[in-house]
Amino acid sequence: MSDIYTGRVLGKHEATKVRQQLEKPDPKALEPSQYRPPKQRSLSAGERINPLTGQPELRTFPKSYGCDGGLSQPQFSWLSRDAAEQHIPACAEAGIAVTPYRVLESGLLTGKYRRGQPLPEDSRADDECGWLSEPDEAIYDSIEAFNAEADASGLTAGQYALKWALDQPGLTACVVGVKRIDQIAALMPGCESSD
Amino acid sequence: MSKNNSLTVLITIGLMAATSMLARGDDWPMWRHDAGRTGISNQPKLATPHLQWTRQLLPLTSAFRNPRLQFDAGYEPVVMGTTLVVASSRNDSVTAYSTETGEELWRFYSEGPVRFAPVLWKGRVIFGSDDGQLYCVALDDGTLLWEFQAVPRSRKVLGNRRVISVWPIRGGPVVADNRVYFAAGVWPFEGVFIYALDATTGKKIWLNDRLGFVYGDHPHNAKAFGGLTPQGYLVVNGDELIVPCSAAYPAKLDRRTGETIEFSLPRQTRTPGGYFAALDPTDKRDLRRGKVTLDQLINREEHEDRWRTGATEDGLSRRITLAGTKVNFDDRFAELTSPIHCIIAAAGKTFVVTRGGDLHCYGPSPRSTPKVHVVQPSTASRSAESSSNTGLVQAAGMQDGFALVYGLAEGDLLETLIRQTRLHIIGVDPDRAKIAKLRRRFDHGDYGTRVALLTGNAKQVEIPPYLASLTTTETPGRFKDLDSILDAAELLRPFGGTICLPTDDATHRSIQALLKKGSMGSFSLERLGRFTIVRRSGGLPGATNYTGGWQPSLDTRVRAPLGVLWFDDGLGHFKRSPQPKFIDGLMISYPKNWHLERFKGNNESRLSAVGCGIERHLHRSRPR
Repeated sequence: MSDIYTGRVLGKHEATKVRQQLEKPDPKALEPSQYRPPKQRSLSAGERINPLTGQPELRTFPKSYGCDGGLSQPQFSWLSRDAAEQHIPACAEAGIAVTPYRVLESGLLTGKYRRGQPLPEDSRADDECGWLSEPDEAIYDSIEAFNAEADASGLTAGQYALKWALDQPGLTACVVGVKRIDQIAALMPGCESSD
Repeated sequence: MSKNNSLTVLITIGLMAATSMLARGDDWPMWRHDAGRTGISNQPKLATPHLQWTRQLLPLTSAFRNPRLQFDAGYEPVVMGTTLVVASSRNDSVTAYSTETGEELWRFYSEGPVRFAPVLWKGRVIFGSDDGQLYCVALDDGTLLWEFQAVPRSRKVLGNRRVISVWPIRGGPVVADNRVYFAAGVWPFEGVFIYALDATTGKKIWLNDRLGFVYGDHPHNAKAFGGLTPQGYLVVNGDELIVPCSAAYPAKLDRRTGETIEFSLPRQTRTPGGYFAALDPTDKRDLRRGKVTLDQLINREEHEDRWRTGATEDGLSRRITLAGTKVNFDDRFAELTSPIHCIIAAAGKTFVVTRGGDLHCYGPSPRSTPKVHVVQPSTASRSAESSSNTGLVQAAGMQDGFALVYGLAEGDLLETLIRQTRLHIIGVDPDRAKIAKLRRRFDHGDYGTRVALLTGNAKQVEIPPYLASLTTTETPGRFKDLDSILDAAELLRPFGGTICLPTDDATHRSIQALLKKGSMGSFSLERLGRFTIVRRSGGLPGATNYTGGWQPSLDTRVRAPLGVLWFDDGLGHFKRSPQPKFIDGLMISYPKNWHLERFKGNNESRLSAVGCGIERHLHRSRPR
């Protein structure tokens, strides 16, 4: 017997009550040859409660999770907010860092896409690389609502997209892709979180 | 200061400087003689050793049981001029003795076990402690010259059964080219810090703190973060700094810049790590290739009941070379019958440390009556155990675990707790002079084993949470405000941890009123005689028992990010034994060989063969 709070191994005179309550293990019972449940057939080593979903799942990678906290990188932006419903709160609860990608939505939230105007040169949508197709009317509706918020904040659209993301609870940092160095400097005012 | 005094000081400084420069060829200034840890000295082996004096030192217990981590299994003396210095992991000190007589010259206490031999360099004694500090004191009188906090803060853990820094200095210091190199931190995810300091001033030259988060393969096909866990004496190999590591092959750093040259996580195909690494000039091929040598006695690993080693030399750590003659620690020395831990040669003498802790000095000429310095027994009397203190022990009702005594006076309560309970006592007080006096009082066997003292107030010392089975004080005025009581309550062990304070009725009522204002949670308050008792009942919120059966744990408390609370290798119960249970703050586990039926075939002979193999190994590499 040992104390879980200090690691101290208890003397024989201690914890006699607990000792008496314990069932003695059957010395003839077979124990598994490895650290996994008895009679387990799969490669997994038992069950765990997934800290993100709260649901039980097979513990297939018992040593790869948990100890260092880890980080999660969901897609998250002013336009794509699904992660805010369960993913980000669960990470905050479990102590897992959240560093979302695509907070500028491949440029949609930088103010360079305007309804009725040709696609800007050298943009993701224009170079047809597959990252972004030409925005449809519904997306332009969203972009215009976003641009109005950005204008009201006094920041550029890109700065506001970044600041909005960083101000959401549970976020640790944002992954932002840029093509040119000067774009980093232009975004910096958005890194000053309201917190 | 008068002119005469000034002159005295100048002369003293002059003498110190002269002594400092006397780093003679027959010194033994660091572990295994030099920065390459060669164990080679020009001093010849004594033809006929004659005992000059003996000093009994209190026996040491190593931090770990693991044979690869026996870096602190016994005393490792170092010598410069006519001063011999030993560090002690038992009483947290470094002590200097005269090589001529064995008389004690001075003693310096740190705030934690000193597990590695100091380096003697230009009249200085440089050593690291489990408290996370590197100290430099004067060789002549033990005066502190500089100290360097190697760690981010004073946070403590219970490490190897002692309250120590989360980042103990376990990378033993080495000095070369006016720089001292050492390492702090043994848990990669808590941070690992390898330093080069100016040995004269203690100023930082470089820091490598990037070896604690190496992502890669771990056993059983798991990928995770891991890193260097420096535990062992650092080695200087030309422009490279070698950092021995507990599990992995030693790391190599650029000695000029601190940049990492080579480090890999441990894996089956690599030579297992261990605390020992050294240059072996007798192996010309290795030397040409700039390789360090490991010892087969240490750098080996038992896996699935099979021993695994790599390119190592057998027994290098158990021998030295004196003027070309090999001296083996396992050979008989003079008339000594007890097993030998180590031998060094310096100042024309040979010093032998036994596994039991005796330090023997041998010279070339006989001495009629060699002096024996015995361990002085405690001078404490039963009178120190006042009825008041006995009443406190009875009221608290705690006999086992750890006790915190915040605020010290004469130390009589500590004495009572030592004599009347089995508690391990940690005394805390900001008064350095008082702490120094009390350390001497208990340094007759109890210091380090039953009681340890830390300097500072509660916030500075940062005791780990949930440690205290009992918290009390020798200065009751210490607990006069709500914060101090709540802070102490946070450190109480769940399932019964108790604060016991001697109070009068008025003080008890004011504590009662204070606690009503605060959130008591699972704490209860009662009056027992003239004592106020605060108990922490039940477990922590969200914590649950776990009774096995491979069921998922419903505990909501243990969540990332996790930090180290305690560590030790006293139990190794986690493989091929019934699943541990966790009940009311206790872990119930079973050893690997919990029943003989585990072994196939002839059970008893197999078990006895394994036991003997380990025993043989222990006999060669650590004290009994």
